[in-house]
Amino acid sequence: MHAVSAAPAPTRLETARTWTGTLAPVPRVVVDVVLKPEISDPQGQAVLGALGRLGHTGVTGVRQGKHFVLDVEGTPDEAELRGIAETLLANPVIEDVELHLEGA
Amino acid sequence: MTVDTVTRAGETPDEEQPHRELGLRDEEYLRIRDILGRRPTTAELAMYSVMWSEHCSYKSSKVHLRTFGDLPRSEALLVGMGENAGVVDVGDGYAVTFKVESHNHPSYVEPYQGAATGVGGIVRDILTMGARPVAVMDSLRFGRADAPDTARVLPGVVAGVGGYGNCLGLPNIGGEVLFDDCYAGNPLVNALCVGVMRHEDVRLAKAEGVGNKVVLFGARTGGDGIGGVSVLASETFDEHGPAKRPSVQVGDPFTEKLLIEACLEIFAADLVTGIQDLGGAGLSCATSELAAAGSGGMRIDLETVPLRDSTLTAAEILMSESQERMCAIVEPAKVEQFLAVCAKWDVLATVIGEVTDGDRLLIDWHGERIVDVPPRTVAHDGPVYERPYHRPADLDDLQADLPPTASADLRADWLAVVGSPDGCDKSWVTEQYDRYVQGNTVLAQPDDAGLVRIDEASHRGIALALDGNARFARLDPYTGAQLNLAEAYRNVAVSGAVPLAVTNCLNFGSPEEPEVMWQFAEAVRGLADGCRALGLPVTGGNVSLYNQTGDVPINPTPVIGVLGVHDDVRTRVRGGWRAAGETVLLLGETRPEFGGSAWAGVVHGHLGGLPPRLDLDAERALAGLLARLAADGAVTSAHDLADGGLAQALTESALRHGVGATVRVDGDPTAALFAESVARAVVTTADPAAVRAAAEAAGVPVTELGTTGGDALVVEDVLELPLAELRSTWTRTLPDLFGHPEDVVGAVPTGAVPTS
Amino acid sequence: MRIGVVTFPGSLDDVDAARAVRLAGGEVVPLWHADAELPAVDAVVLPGGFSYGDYLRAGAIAARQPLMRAVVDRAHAGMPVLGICNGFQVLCEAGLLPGALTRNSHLHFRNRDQALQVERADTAWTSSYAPGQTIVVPVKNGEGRYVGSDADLDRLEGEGRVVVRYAGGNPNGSSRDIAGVTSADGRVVGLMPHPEHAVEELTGPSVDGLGFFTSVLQGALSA
Repeated sequence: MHAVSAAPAPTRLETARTWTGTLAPVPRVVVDVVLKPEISDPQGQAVLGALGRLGHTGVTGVRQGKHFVLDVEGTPDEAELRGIAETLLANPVIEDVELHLEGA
Repeated sequence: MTVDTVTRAGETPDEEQPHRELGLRDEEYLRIRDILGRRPTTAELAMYSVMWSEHCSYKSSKVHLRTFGDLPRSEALLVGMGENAGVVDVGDGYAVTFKVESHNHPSYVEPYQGAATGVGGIVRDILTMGARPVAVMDSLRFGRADAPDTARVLPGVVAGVGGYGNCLGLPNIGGEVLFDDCYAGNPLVNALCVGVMRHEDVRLAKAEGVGNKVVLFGARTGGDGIGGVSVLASETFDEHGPAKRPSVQVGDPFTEKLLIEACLEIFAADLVTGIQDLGGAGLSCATSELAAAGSGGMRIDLETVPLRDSTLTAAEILMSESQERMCAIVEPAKVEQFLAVCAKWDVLATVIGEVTDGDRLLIDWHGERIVDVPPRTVAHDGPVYERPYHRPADLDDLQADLPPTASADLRADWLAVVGSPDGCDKSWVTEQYDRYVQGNTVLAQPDDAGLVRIDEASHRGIALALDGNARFARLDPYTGAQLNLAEAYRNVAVSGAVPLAVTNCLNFGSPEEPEVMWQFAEAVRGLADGCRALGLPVTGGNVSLYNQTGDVPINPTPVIGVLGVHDDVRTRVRGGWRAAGETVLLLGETRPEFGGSAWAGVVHGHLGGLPPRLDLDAERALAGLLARLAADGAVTSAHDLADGGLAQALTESALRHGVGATVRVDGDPTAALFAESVARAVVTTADPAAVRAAAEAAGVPVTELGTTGGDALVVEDVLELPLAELRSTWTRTLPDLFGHPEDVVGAVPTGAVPTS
Repeated sequence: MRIGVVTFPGSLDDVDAARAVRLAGGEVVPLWHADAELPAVDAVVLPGGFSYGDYLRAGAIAARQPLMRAVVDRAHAGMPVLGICNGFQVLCEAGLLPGALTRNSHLHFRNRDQALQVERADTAWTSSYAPGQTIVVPVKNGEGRYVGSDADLDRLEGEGRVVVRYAGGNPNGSSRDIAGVTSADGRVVGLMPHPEHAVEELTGPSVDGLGFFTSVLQGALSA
């Protein structure tokens, strides 16, 4: 019912939306893409190194990914959006994707 | 918000205007009022302020740069100074355009984007002349290599130069990377681009033909670098660093690549009568320059300019420095075809105005007239300052402070010089640049010159070298500028090419300091005299002033680019020894000259005395000899002597392919190894008699040094340096400072997080 | 022998690939990304460069262009395809080759003359080489690190689908030093290094790269 990989527990609002089977007009759809855990992320490691040198030793891990914001007209098709997220915005060979449908 | 129209300006003559905040002096503001017969509108004030800034108007340097115009007219010069870039005839109906430009201040503020947009800007200048850009070079200067801020600036600059140039598909064929404390708050990023075309393809930036359309194409206009020109270029940074962050320009090389392809198709189909790129001062510059160079009249509907940010005011649109934009003058009958070519390449193109039969530049905003100016007054008749100048008070003492002349430990000094940040291997930098794209790169770094083939059938090629020794110029700017010219000239000659033309990027401190102004005037005078003596035209260049933090200006840094022609690139001469048993010969004469030398600086921390004695006759003789040796195939390698003297040249030649040598030096070994006398090169040959004969005919002294072979550099009775040790010293310096990419496959290097 | 060379917006080494094809004795057919129809060609080269500025992911947008649909169909029917650098990225994005290319481990763009070992000398693009032959060819990339899950890589190795491997150093952190891979039928090859830059003594570190182009021409002759 929700996005491809382990997404954060859906909020009541999101859950309500998916149960009704139809979505109220959703102006923004957010897609987050990160490298799969088994793929090494040198950019994230570089950021972690920089944080350490700046004194933020409490941060123990950084993964860098991409954040897409899609403006959608009318009633979006969740299947279509999931398709977009999984097959274009992310490369499923090496990336995991999370889809978030935001309220107005 | 009420639009400040021309009518309104006429009706409200006493309205306060922020001319000082925009960088205009009171007398300049009054002059504008005088020109217009009224107060300027807000938009007009914006235009004058950017166009009359130091960067755009060259107000402090113009009076001195005029000497370049006095040089004897060269046959080879097709287009001289004043256009976007000079154009030179290189034979067989080919014309070459090349120029070097600075993007210094932005690179301190945002290293990656500052460097990237510097490359983008110079490439557009070349494209604007009607040429296909074929190569780039970069001359970079930073503060001390081990300074914390260098670790912030250098990696970003290098990544930016590479990131933009690589994505455009332009091979980087050479340049320099040097360090000195004087550049700490003022890094120098000088980018060169060279392009090739047929003679008949030369385009000029002028608006002619009443009724012809003005078409803006390329990227959308946003708030990039608004006021960057007047604010950044005329502002010296204070001690606390870039506290104020003026908006910098952000580049998109993909858009520029599409722009290049679209332009080349447009040129091939002869669709434009004039073309100009939008660089410093954006639309203000493009419209005023096009109009001023043409019949004089132009009208623009500013609201038709496609925007990325719809909140921009008219004045902001005029001042925007958004990248990757060009402006063309197109006959009405050809507009549709022009737009079709742009559409094919997905390049946004918009008709924004037309050429008129008047002599004013008129700009309307939603039907209201906001600009009505004589374009020449904006583009060319800016203020001209005759700034006062006098010799620096410390120069006599500096020149009297003679350098040491004897090494206490030749072996240790040799390693120190070649392992210094200036002398060391630059692969950490140059491996971030694509040298192969386009498949015509015959020579590139670390060879002394870049060499690009321009015709696969005839094997004709062009050679380029970019050099600037600022220590010499500090000691004597007049001679120093000429020494830089001589070095670039010599580097081109080493490849076997014939030097043909000169470009320059003059980086100096604040022109408001009389001592700096003197350095500038002397350097220009020196460069002009040097070009006259060598018979080379100056095709154009760039001036960057205000490179100083507080009271301390950078060393005068005149960077000189020399272009040469190679009849047959198959006869090019490479650097680096490849075989054992060849004779090593030194061409030229060595004198005990150490003023401003790498040895004096690195080993003794010394900068003083006089730079090496200039000898342009000897340079000419050597250049002629090298061309002859290349054509005859008489030498297997050649390397010029410059920073670090013979020690540096032998080191680089040996380490290139791991072939050592045994040599002998006569007389004073310190001078032999570390003096930086001019007009010298070291060659290897299997036929020393032939080289000697040619040298004698050319009047060039020859000294036999020894023979190649073995796994060490041996100077008999003096020292022995195993190549392994030499290589380790020479190659580790930059990786030790900025990260070892080699060892970090799987891990990540330390250093600033790169902006990508 | 007609070899198509595709140009996407941002392609750079299409000119160089065309030169290599000509030097090998082939006829170059320039192909435009937006055309849906693929003319009659014996093979296709997807060249290096920064198609679409590497936006989204390198090769991602190019892989979804109209012409690529036709290239994929023809490849499934046996037409040889060579993807060089950006072209390799396009082939992975298009699903013709396994794995993916990501940012170099050290985060630098890296251009150097690289030693390679040819492990499969029986693909459509490597038949001119001897198995195990070492060649020197330039690499130049910022997103050249070949990656995949351990399971995928094991399978790839197990099936002998590694065509070329980095030797004497790994320039970008690619898993298992993999520099190039092939499809199961040996006709679609993806390669990070640039053979088209090693075809002339004058402008390259060697002429070792020419073999990729002569291979496919020989194959077309005998097909």
